[in-house]
Amino acid sequence: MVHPLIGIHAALGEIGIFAFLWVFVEILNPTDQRMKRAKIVATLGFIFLLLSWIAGGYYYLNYYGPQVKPIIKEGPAPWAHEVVMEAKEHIFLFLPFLALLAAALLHQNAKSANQTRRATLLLCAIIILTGLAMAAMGYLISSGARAALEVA
Amino acid sequence: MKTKALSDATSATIVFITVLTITSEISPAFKTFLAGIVGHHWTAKSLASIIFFILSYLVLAKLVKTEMKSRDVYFTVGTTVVCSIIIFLFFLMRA
Repeated sequence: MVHPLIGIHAALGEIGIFAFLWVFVEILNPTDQRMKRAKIVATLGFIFLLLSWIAGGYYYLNYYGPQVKPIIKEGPAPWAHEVVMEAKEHIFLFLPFLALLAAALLHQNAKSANQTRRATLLLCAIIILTGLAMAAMGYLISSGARAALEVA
Repeated sequence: MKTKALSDATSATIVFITVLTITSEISPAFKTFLAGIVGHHWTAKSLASIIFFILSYLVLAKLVKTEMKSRDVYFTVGTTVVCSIIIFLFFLMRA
């Protein structure tokens, strides 16, 4: 059976990513009200990504490493661990720092936040794209585990 | 919070994570050393990245006097893209 922690990790991560999609939309055409919402949502997005880091890390150390990794490596798609998981577990580490930067840029005074608005949009876009890549990689890793169990 | 220092610290931390990742894969002794600190190399990398980020922010906040510009964020985004590709290609070539 799939461990519930993997679902919690994925859900927290996806909420974090969608928070930055929300921020992106709010600051496309900003007003005072939209900027106020963007600050709150970016802060929440950062917190959700931190929680996803903790949940994913706990799952990775206690369940994935000892139980799932050996199954994938013995199965027909060992690349699901050797390439996808290895890349995912390290690239993920970028996300909380990028999210903190995005939240901090929005919490600047109104003049500074407006001056860096386009850059903040690009930063939100890279957080969203990296997060979506994490979700896709998670799917590939799960597929690798499923393929190994079907063979066994 | 000084955003210029924060942006530079973020770029530096992303490079630090990339270097730490590749070094620990190339050198099994270093990976064992990292694992010996807190029980697992990934946990050590996670904690090291947080400590590095905080320290680099504190140092840069003292040293950097220039104002935040959009290009600082563009540099951070560029660093993220390049380092992500480097990590992915590294594991792809090793497999």
